[in-house]
Amino acid sequence: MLSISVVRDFADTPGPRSREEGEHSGEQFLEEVLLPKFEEALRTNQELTVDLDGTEGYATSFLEASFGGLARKFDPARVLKVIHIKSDDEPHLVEEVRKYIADANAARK
Amino acid sequence: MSKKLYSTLKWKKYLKSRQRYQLRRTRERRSRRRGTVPLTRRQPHNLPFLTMTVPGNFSIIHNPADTIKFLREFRNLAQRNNLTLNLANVTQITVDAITALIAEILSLGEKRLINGNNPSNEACRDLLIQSGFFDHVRSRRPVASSQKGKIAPRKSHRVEGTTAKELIRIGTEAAFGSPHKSYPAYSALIECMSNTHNHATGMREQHGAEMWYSTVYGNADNGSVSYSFLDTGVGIFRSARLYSLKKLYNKLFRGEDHRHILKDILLGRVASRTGLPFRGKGLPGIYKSFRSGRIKSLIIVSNDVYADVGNDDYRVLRMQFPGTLLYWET
Repeated sequence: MLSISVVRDFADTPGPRSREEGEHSGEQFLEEVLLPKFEEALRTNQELTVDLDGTEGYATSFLEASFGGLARKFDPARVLKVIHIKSDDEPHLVEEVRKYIADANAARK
Repeated sequence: MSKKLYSTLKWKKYLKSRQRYQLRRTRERRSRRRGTVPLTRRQPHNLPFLTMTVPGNFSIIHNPADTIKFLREFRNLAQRNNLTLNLANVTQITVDAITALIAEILSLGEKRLINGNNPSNEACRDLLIQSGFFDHVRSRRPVASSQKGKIAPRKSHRVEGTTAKELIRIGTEAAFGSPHKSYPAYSALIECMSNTHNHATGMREQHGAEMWYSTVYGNADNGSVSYSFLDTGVGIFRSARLYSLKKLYNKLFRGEDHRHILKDILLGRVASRTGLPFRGKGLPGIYKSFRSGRIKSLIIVSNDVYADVGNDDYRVLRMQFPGTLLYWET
């Protein structure tokens, strides 16, 4: 099983939605960390665990840009099947992220 | 002959200088129309000093009418005068008002001189000293008599996670004795910074031109941390994507005003200005944190609306607040 830890592989201070707004954006996380690992998970037919714990916190725009952004590139159902979210610090984020992935369908239509 | 005359170096120089002068005049005229060049060009030491009395209850969150009136007067009077702030009679003061006043002073740059005295009230004096207010005004500074908390102001025009982290650390250490994380406060600060970057300029200029000011105050007495976030942009209601026909219909036939629009924004019912369905989650996200009890005492002041969200007190202000202020506690 593949895994990503945001604090280990990206930053302890996740930032805004886009690179233009500031450092450690959701867009940057998607392009540099999440997308390559997700593609690897698809190639090797494995599950990908994303560990959200250990950071300072998350803005909704960061989570939406990363996970919603991924679901806009791939089929949301496929993303939900491959990605497993871990968030012990803020358990409500698990459902929130799953919602962003599911809602990405509306943006694709 | 005339053709030769106008092609000489002397004429070329003259015409160039006229051109530059006219261009400068045009730019100034346009800026004046936009209300962005209010300051007279005279040197500060040639300007008279006017005294302004700061309201006794200097707080946007508790006394919005008087405080906003004072801040607007400050901005108007500072166009043509140096100012002396009389703070002697201030008996109540909060971080949001200090943040707003510092923002006004900073917007003047070096072009005006601002003097200020000390409040007689000890608690107010301490808060002002700890906020760094006296770094921005000329005054005799007394030493703070007691250290009941710590206040830290920051400003920028970008979204800065490290600044949000630093503010939270300072606030929590002052309130609880040791620094620790605050997920909801971090999330709210990033949302606010992002909103300033993306929406505060409205349609005026490109994104990222507007500045935000944030202040944290950790109160050791009651173990609370107060955050205030201010942007001096166009305000929520001039930046939100509202269809004018729908707005007019709601105003005329349903008696709705900006208070109702703010409620709709908080509930995520107003589409983002980008038109993308997955955008516009900033304020609804903060409201969600408030409803789930992760942040307390949420107050929003923008344009003509004051909203004490916790007490469901939504008011229309007689005087417009220039920008957006968010206040919350953890």
